[in-house]
Amino acid sequence: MRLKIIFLIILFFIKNIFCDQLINGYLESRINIRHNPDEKKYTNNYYLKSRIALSGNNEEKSVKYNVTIEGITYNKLQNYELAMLGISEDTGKKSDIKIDRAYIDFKIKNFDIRTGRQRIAIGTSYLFSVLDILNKKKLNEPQYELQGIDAIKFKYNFSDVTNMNIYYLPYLDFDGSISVFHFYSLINNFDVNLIYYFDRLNKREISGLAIKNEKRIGYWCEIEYTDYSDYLSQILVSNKSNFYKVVCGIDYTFSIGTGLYLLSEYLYDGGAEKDKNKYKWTRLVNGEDATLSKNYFYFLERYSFNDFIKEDISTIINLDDKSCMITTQLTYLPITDLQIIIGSNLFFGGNNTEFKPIKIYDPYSLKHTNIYFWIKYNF
Amino acid sequence: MKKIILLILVNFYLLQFLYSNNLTADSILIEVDNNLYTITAKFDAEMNIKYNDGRVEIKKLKITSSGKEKSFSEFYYPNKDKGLKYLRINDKLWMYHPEAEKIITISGHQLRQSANGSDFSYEDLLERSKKLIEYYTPQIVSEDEKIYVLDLTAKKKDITYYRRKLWINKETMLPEKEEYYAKTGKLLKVFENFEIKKFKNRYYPTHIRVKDVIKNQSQTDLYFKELNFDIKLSDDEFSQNRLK
Repeated sequence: MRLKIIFLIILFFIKNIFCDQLINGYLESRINIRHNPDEKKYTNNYYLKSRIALSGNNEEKSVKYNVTIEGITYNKLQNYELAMLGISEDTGKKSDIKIDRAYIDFKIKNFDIRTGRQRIAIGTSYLFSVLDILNKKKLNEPQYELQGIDAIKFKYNFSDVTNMNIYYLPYLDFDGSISVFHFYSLINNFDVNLIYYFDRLNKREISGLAIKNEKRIGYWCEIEYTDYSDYLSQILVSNKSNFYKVVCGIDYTFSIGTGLYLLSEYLYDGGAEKDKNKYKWTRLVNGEDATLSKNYFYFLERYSFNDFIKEDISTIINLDDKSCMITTQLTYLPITDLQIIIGSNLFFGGNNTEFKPIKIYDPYSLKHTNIYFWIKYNF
Repeated sequence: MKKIILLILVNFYLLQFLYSNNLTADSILIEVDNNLYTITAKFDAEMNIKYNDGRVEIKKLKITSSGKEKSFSEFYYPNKDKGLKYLRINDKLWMYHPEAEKIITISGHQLRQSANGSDFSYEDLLERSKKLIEYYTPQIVSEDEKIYVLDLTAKKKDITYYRRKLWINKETMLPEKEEYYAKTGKLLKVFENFEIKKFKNRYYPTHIRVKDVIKNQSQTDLYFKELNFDIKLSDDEFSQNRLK
C-alpha cells in the first residue's frame, strides 16, 4: 500500500514536468463458456479488466514517459494469467492490479534510450513470429497486447529507416541477464531485421534474420538459429542442442466488396519432434514456445461487411499429428469506441494430439471448444 | 495554287491550334500542381464520415508532409484510434498500432483498402502529394467562362486511377471536382474541393469531400485546420523513431 502511495506521488510530480499529457485506455469484459466433454458439463468464467495508460511528452527536453496500469476482477478465485485465458483455478484472489508498462524515453541527437517495463517486438510475421523470443504471441489472439518486460533499450538511428537497437534485460543479476542486438534497415524496399540474442542463464544464443516486402502480394520470411551450450536448460525445450526455425508467409487483399484479406504462414521448427509421444509440453508451460511440433500451417481470412461489422476466421493446423484449432470472430461496432465481439475456439484431432491433448497436458481444459462474448470500450 | 496556299494555311492553323491546345492543357495542370504541391506542410485535419444510415463518425489527426516523398500522420480522436500513426517515405507506408505496439508495413495490395474506415484509400492519401503532370497526360475536354474540364490519361498502365476528369476553376486553378476512373472506364471515386483559400502564393482547399462509388456506403468530408505551408521541419520528423 505504501509503495502504491509513493508511486502516485511520483506520478503527480511527473505530471507537472510534461506538457502533453494523455490519459487513455479501455475497459473490457469477457464471458467465456467452455464445454468439457470429459466431465460432460459446461463451465463459465468472466473477467472485467481496465487498462489505463498515462503518457506524457516534453518535446523541448526530448523526454517521453508511459505508465500503464491494469486492474482485473474475476468471478472465481484465480490468478491473473488464467483469468485472461478464461479459465479458473482457486488461488485465493478475486482481483488483481499490476503495472504493465512503465518507461521513460530520452533522446540525445540520434541516440534514444528507453528504460523500464516495455514491450519488445522484433519479428515481422503475423503469428509464428520466431524472432519474438521475449514476447510470444497467443495462438488464438495474435493481435492481443502482450505483457511488458523490464529492460533498457539503447537505439542509434543511422537514418530515418536504419537503426541499431540493443536491449539489456537485467533479471536477478548479470549472470542471469539477457542481451539482444537488433539491426533494422530498409534495403531496396525490403524490411530487413537482423538479431542476435544471448541468454546468459540458460547459455543460449539465437541468431536470426527477417525480411519483408511485397510485389502485388506481401511476402515475408524469418529464420532463427538457436544454440544451447547448457544441457539442462536445453533438455526442457528440445532434444537437440542446436536447431533452426523458419517461417514463410504471404498475404493478399482481393478486390471483392470492401476487400477480402487472406493471409497464410508456414512454420518449420527444427527443435521440435514430429512424433506426438515425444512432444515437449514444458515448451508451452515455461513459455519457451507456443507450439509443440515441427510443421504448421496457418490460414487467416478477414472480411468487413461494412464499416461496423467484420469477421475473422483462422485455422492453425499441426501438419504432423493432423490436429487443428479453428478460431472464428464476429466484431460489431455499434457506436464510436465500443466493440462487441462474439467468438469461438474449436479444436479437432485424434487423442493426445496437440489440439486434443489428454487431461494431464491440459489441466485447465484450455483446448476444449469454447464460445466467448466480449465487450470493449476505449476511453 | 490558291488551293495549295489555302491548304497550307489550314494545316498551319490546325497544327497551331493543336499545339497551343496541348500546351494549355499541360500548363493548366502545372498550375494545379503548383497550388497543391507543397515543399513542407503541417496541419490538423478532421474527417467526418457520413454513413448512408445517417450515422456520422468523426476522426481527428495531425499531418506533416515534405514534398511528395514523406508524410507523417497521427490520429488523436476517437479514443480507439488515439495514437494510431502512419509514416510514408516514398512509396513505402508503415503503420503503428498502439495496442499491438508494433510497426506494421502496409503492403501494396492493402493500399487500395479504406484508410481507417474513410472513403479515402491509403493510396489516395499517397497520391495527393504527387505532381499530376508527372503521371498523367492532360487534354482539354471543354471550357466555359469559369471552368476548364481536363481529361487526364495515365502515362503508365499500372496506375490505380487510369483516367481522371478534373473541373478546374479558372480563378483559383484548383479542381472543384475530380472523377477517378479505372482502366475499364468504371467510375471509382468522386472528389469535391470546397472552401478554397489563398495562402501566400497558392490556393488550397480546406474542405475535401470524397465518395467511394464502389463502396457506396458513406461519404467522407475532410476539413483542414491550422494550415502551415513551407515551414522548417526538424530532421527526425519523418523517422521511424516517431512511430513508437
